[in-house]
Amino acid sequence: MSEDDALGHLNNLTEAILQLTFGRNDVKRLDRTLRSQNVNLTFVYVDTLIQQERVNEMMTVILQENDSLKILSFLGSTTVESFEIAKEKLMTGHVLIQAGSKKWFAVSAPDTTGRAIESSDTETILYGAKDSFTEQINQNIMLIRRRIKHARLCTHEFKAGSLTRTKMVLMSIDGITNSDVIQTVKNKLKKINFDMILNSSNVAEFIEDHTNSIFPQFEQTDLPDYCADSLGKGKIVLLIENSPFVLIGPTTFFDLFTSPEDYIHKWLIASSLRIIRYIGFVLSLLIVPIYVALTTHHYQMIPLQILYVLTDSRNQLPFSPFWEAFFMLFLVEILKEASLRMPSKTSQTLGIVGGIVIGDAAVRAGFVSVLLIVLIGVSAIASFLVPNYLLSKTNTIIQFVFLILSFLMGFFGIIVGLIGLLAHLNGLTSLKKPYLAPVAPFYWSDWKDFLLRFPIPWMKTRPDHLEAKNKWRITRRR
Amino acid sequence: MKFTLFDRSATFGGGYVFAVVNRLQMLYFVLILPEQLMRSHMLILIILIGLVSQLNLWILAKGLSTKELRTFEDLERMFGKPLLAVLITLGLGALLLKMCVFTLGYAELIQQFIFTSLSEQWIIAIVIAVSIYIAIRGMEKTIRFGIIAFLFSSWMIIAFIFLFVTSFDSLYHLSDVIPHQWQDVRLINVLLIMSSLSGPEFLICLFPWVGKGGNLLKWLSLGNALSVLEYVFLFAATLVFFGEGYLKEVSFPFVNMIQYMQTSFIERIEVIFLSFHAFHFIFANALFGLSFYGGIRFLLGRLQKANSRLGLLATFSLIGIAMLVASEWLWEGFHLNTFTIIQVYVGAFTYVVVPTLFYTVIRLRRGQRFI
Repeated sequence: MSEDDALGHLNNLTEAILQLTFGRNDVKRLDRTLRSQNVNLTFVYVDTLIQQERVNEMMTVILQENDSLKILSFLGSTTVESFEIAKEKLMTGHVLIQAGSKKWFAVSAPDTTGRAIESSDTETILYGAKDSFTEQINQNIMLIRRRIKHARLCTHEFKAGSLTRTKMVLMSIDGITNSDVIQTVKNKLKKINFDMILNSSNVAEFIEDHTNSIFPQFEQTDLPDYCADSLGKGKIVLLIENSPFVLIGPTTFFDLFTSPEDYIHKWLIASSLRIIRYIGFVLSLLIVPIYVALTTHHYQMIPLQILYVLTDSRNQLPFSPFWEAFFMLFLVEILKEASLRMPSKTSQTLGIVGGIVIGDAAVRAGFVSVLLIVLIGVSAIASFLVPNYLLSKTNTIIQFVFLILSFLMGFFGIIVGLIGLLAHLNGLTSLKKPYLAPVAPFYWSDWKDFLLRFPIPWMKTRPDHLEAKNKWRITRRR
Repeated sequence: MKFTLFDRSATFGGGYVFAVVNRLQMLYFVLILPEQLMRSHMLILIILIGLVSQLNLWILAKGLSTKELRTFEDLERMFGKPLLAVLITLGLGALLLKMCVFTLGYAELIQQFIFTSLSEQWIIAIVIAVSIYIAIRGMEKTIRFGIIAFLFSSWMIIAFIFLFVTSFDSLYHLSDVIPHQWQDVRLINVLLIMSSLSGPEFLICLFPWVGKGGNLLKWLSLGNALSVLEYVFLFAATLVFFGEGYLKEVSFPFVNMIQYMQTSFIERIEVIFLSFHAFHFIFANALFGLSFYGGIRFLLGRLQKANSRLGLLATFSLIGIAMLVASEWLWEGFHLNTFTIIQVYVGAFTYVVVPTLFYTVIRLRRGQRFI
């Protein structure tokens, strides 16, 4: 039996609460006497979780007043009826107060110190709101509520993590979001059984439909604008305490290519940018495997003039195209990973050392061809075009798989890999909604915000694949 | 999570019917058709048979739209167990033959044009493996994959416009479309076209997933019309490119013709085209393989029992072994070999008979209030 359990079994709540102060240096106990009424007051709180000024103010007010119970109700206190509640209140920044009788009260005084609202580092946008989420969940809810000033914006609170007791808030718009989707998330959230829930990715792993897939089945963003837009479309938003990133679902593979800026640019420009992103994604996956396929199996496909250049570039190389590409892709991944972990000032040096020195030296030393360096560079830059960081990280694994397939079976291998990839995506769901919508299943009306982004006034309905309760985005006159 | 293959959470609308019908009609025979037909007036024959096949589709649409027919249990009640068992046994044979012919033909093409050093058996094994990967996700998701297969393989027809443009001065090869004498209009050619357009009849294996509402015939007809258009266009392109006289000398004229397409960036485009064909070949294999598994489950009386991965894998292994055996001992190389000729007859037969039989039984049994 643990110490807490033992304390919970104590009949005397006071004794149990006071026991908490032993062996926990930051749990403070203060005893005061209200001389006018000859009443003993006991204050218990966690020093590191409360706002000291607020506690001091509270004490002053209580001690100056004659009727302590009246003032406690004025301060918005709640009655503590069990040891479990007492512990929970104590650990969430409440002050436990006992006034005379055996009754305990809890008054909220949490320390809300945290990062100020700043612009996002991970999703930078040129035009548009600059504020982004912080680690303070209530502040994040406020940022969304400021954007959707509607009483139908609902919040449902959950807790997960036996040690962390992390608060999670599910947001949806009543009358718009599909009830099945909300129920699915609720059921999944209730089933989370783990000790530590520290960030949104932890939660995503528990509530994803397909845990073994490398593809993210939720969007993660720290932009309130994007969240509000997603809620308006009929999606749900899940905020997690101490995480500046929220989860948005159900999501599709193609949602991961959308950027908040798509709705800021003129529609033709936004559409062309979106197409560039898709092309970038395909290029980042296939350009190096195609090089390997051509140089290993299909020399006959290369026109003579290009073949001269290629043979000239490759005739001194000791490695086969596959190993040459494999080493270079591996090196690029090391550089990408290192640049993420290093301080920003050092990462510039890394770029120069990695990109120029190693790349140039590898060519001069005769380990790789110049053409491959160009293709690797194009592939690396193209991989950054995908707005969703989690999706861009899946590129690496897929690229290596395609590389092996192209080495084994040339172009046919690449197509076989592509079929496998699409079959995998076709089998995925996000909160039970198809991941490859609006292509498979085919929703023609959703194509107005898919490859192209049509003018916003044309988007009169919510995406069909979300099966929103109210599909109209416009107020329809009777 | 429970493993299910044949669950039905939604029915599929006209778009799916259109895509699936079109892709099933564009399997192997489209690649060998020109060298068999040779004459330009066969274009008229293709169009005529395409029009006649509308009758099959009309009957098929009637049968599939039957409101009382929603589950396999309904089918069992309507047909009766003994009759259904006989029909399914025959159907499994037809399915296996069709799968063998188009997969072996495709493997042969890949071997001849892309990997001359790779044995056909390996290609068959790869095709089967990827088909299993699609099929193991269940019938619903396999049907959905039909849209992907359509989008990734139907675009190729557009590339032939360039061939028409470059061969503009050879258009006179088409001048004999309405001839004085209808030469070479033989039964085998008629059956070959009929068999080429066969495939939609296997939609009866998917009847629980085909939406009853909407205009089913319209989408079936659109899919068929696109197929006929593609057949006509491809045949006309090969005629213009090679000419009637030379066409019979070329094996796989369609593929050979693409060899001549080149850009300043890439040549031998047939490698890309043939590879992209894998989309609908593998899709058809997955769809037919699942239907095959469903048929075996019925014959073994396991319709009410849970699906198993092992059962599906065993079915595909059986199909794979049949293909390997056929490839080793029965397949005789290019053109219309004995194996292909059997498929010509069987394909034409199933396309004509299956929809009629299906609808006739429904009409008769409905009249007798069996349901």
